[in-house]
Amino acid sequence: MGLVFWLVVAPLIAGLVILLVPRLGAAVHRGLAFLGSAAALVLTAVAWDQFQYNITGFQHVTALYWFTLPSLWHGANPNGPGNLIIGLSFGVDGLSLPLLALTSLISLLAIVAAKRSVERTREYYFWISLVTAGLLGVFCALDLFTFIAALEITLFAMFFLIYIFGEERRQSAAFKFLLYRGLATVALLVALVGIAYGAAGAYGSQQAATLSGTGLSFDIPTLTNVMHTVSTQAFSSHARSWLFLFLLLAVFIEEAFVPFHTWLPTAHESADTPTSMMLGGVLTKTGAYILLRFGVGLLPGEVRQYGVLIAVFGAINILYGAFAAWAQTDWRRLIAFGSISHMGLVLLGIAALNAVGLQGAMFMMVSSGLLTALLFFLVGAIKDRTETSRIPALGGLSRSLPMLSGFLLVAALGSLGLPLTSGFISEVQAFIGGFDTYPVISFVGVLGVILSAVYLLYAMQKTTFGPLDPRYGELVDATPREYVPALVLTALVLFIGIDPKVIGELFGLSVNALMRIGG
Amino acid sequence: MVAYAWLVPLLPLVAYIFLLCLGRRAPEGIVTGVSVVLTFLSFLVSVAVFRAVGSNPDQVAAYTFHWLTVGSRSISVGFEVTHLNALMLVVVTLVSTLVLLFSKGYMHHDDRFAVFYQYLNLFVFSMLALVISPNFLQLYIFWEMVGLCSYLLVGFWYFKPEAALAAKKSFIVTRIGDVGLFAGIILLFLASGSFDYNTIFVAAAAHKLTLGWISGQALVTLTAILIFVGAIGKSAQFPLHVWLPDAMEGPTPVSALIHAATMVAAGVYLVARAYPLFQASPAALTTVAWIGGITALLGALIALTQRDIKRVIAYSTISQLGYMMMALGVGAYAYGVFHLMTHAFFKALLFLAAGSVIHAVHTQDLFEMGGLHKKLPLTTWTFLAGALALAGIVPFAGFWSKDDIMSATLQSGHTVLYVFALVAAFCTAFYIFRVFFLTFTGEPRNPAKYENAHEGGWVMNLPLVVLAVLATVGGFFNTPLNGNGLEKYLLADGAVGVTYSENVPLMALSVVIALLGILLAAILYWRPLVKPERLARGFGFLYQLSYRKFFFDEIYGAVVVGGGKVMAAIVDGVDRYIVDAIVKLVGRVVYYLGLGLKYTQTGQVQTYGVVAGFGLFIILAIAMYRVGGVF
Repeated sequence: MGLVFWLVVAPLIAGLVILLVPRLGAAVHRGLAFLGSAAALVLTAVAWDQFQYNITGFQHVTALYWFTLPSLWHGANPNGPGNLIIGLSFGVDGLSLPLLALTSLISLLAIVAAKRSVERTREYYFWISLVTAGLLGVFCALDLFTFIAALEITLFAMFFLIYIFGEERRQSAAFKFLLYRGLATVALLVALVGIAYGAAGAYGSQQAATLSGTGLSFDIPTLTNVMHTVSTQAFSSHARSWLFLFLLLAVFIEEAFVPFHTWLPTAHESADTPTSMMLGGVLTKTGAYILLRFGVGLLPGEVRQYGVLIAVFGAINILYGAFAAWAQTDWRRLIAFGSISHMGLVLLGIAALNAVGLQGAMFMMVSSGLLTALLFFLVGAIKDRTETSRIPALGGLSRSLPMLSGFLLVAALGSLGLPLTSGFISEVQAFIGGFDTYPVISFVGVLGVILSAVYLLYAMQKTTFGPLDPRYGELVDATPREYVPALVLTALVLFIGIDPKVIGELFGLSVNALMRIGG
Repeated sequence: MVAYAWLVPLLPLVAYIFLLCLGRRAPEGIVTGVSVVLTFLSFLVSVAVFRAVGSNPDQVAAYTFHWLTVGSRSISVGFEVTHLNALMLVVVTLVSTLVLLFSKGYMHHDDRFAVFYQYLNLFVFSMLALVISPNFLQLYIFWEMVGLCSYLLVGFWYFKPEAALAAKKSFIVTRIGDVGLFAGIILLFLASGSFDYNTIFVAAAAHKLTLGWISGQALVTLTAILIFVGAIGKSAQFPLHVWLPDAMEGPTPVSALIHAATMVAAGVYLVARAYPLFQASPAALTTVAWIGGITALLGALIALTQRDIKRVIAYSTISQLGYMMMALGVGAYAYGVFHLMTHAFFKALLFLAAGSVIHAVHTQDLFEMGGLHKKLPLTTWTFLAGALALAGIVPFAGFWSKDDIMSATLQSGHTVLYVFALVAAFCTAFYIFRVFFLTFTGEPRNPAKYENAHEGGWVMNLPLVVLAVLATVGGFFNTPLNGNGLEKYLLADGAVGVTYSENVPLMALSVVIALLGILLAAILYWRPLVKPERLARGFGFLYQLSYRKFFFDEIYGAVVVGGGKVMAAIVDGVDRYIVDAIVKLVGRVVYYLGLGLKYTQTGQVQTYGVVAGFGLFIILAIAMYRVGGVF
């Protein structure tokens, strides 16, 4: 059994132990969940260490066979060979490795951030472990079946985290989340299975299909190869376009892109801090991952064809998210809209379909993940003390909470793309890519750089600056349980900003692989 | 020596990290000692680098290291030494050392003394790193870092709402300019494949900067203007000048260092460093000249009537930065940089002297001062040196540099701009001597504050004296007497800039204009022949225009900020009442659909059987058609 398999399974085992072993205390539940995520993090580090930069394609591949569907049953290509193999398959490449690291790290910190007062710890830590395992699975799945299964796990695990452990209006928020992302899964299922069928020659002229027919496969590397060579006769471009639009719909919902975004601010407003960290830090990166892995990876021609549309939506998201963030009076909704604005830039970078833009989009996924998690963590810590995250109700916190205020400032500055933070290096690459392909749209999008400063510094001014509200005079500043996670995240944000080539080299490998496919 | 130029920014960085480790409760003596000593060492290295480059122009070089690969291109970081930035290093380290020393007295007993020094050291490091950057991206990185330090230091007294507001305003207004710079360097990168100055300038000179969607010449003009937009923000040029006066909410040493001598001059430095690009586009140069000229006049006109001592000097800074830009715009490269240097000396001096006054009387209102020359003799004399330099009285530093600029402007054929500069020069002499007379001469207008006034001790006096000496003799670095030494030094960077012959009548004219300004200030505020209030009333609307700063804040507040807020409210409204409402509507529809469908759940096995059988039939039919059989 390979490293990457255990990496995914570790939190799952932890979760199952929490669930099934009776009479464990709250501290043990927490400890087990912590161990599960820590094991995932360590194994990711080992995989990173063993990663070979001279190999393109996936490494540490583990495939588990489950059953086969004979070609007569699935009927994708009656004349071609091949039974459809169903099973679990994992592996890493330059894109998945940093995302695995992000996932395991944020889940670890989320567990550290969890309140001691949380009740029903068995369920709580079970769902957290499960959502972690699901996300890890999503980012290293090498097979459509594995991918969809992992994505579904994150869906209902996150649903229960919001539904049971959320705050005000948690139930409607949880259902909104479930319905929206459930719809995304349906669209995704149609798109991915459709692509697999199309690659097997189901949607094309019969002669061409027979010539190129390699049989139905859910294996992502195989599909990538096939999609690279399959002719238009064998897979009609009409069918591809429809499948791509389904894929795009799934991406828009998963990633909370305007106009399919309203589940995200609502969910963040209701979710507790660790859930928000997982949701904003990792779960909202699955959409961009799908667009990179399956959009650019499998249907690059369609990404190019719909490039202007995607880029325009990128700019719309940047500006819409930023303006909406400006109007918010609650920190958590502000962060949610800020993250929508960030991910709009990811859309622009991917639409550009050049190496710089794709690399910028990948950087932005990690950067936005770290910063969003850090912001939610800090706002949660402040809310624990002041009992509010409403911006007008705060003020002058620099005096009573200098350390938390300092971290909040760093997080805000990273979010607004200050150089020497991860935010900047992501922005600059995504915009280089964007300006190369779509200069006019990028000129519009770049205004978001001003707006991000406006809404974040406005919130900072109202939160940490100004005269101290006497209600907050006697607050206790960050405890070690708080400043250690904040320090870890801040250090990473700065590290990526100062020496970006460490993850840049990894991303570069994936970018090269994608660009070779995209032509 | 040049290969060790990286030591110059490194030493303040070491100081910063050291202070960070000491924490916020570190003793004041150690904090100041470490900062001043390391920055002074940095100054010594700068001087050595300056001399090394001067003695051997071949030493001009860039040292770079790989930073990040993007696609097929490599982005590098490193440092470079040119004649221009060697001079900048000396100026920045010198003024920084003096300000760090001065702050010991000014910030004494502040709760966050150590934090203040941390920020200042971070600023000095960032500013030096900006100057020594060999490419646009690294410049941009530190361009934003100095902006961050400015934000932190303007908002240093964070509990004051005005300071919080001013900090935010300064960051956001400069960021509007920064976006232009950001877009400009990205376009240059795409056109040339590199961020490196030299690669880009070589490509520009060879007309090889090209992009698919824009012609080569238009691209040069567009990028040059975008870069200039960045400079407009940072150097507080019209129309983005509004942040600088508000930035005076920061402690006065900060105003002296960041908002007079160094950071605000970064925009001028940027245009100077990117000069080959600007020279390739006459349209861009003309833009620079006109923005500079308008700013010089506008700043001087507003400074005439302000009541706050720091705001007068802030508007003066805006105006003087306008002179520098105008010089660059009319092709007088060396004079613009020369004025940057002399201005750094005399403006830092004026701010520190003002700081000494504020430290003594705890007010910034000119009309609560008066007669302070008896209490603060050293401050008075040093301020006078700075005021004479600013007014451009021979032989003080400002005379040489400003006069060069004005002559060059006229001789380049920009007559209107020359008139602007002349009017501004008259106003300059008037407003700075208005401050001088109101502050130091006459009778104390607030006896209580006057009684407690005293000098700030040697840590505050020494920087004043050093700067006063430089403000007095600093002009002699570049006079016909030494064969225009600095000009020759700067022009050794390559064929940039045009020189102008000295013109004695013009020099005399500008001195006379300045003397008239001083005379007017004297008869209004020193030996009053006319009551200033009557004059103000006589000018009526014009007075209000100046006093209300041409209503820029009001207009921007209504149009830009108001417009943005309206836009935000609209987006928020659309989000809540249209997008989310549709989502809720869909949810409702599905819900009622479900209510209807529940009647199919009759509980009767017969009904279920019929439906199930029907379904099975359909599936079988499809299977037969599609595959030709399932069994």
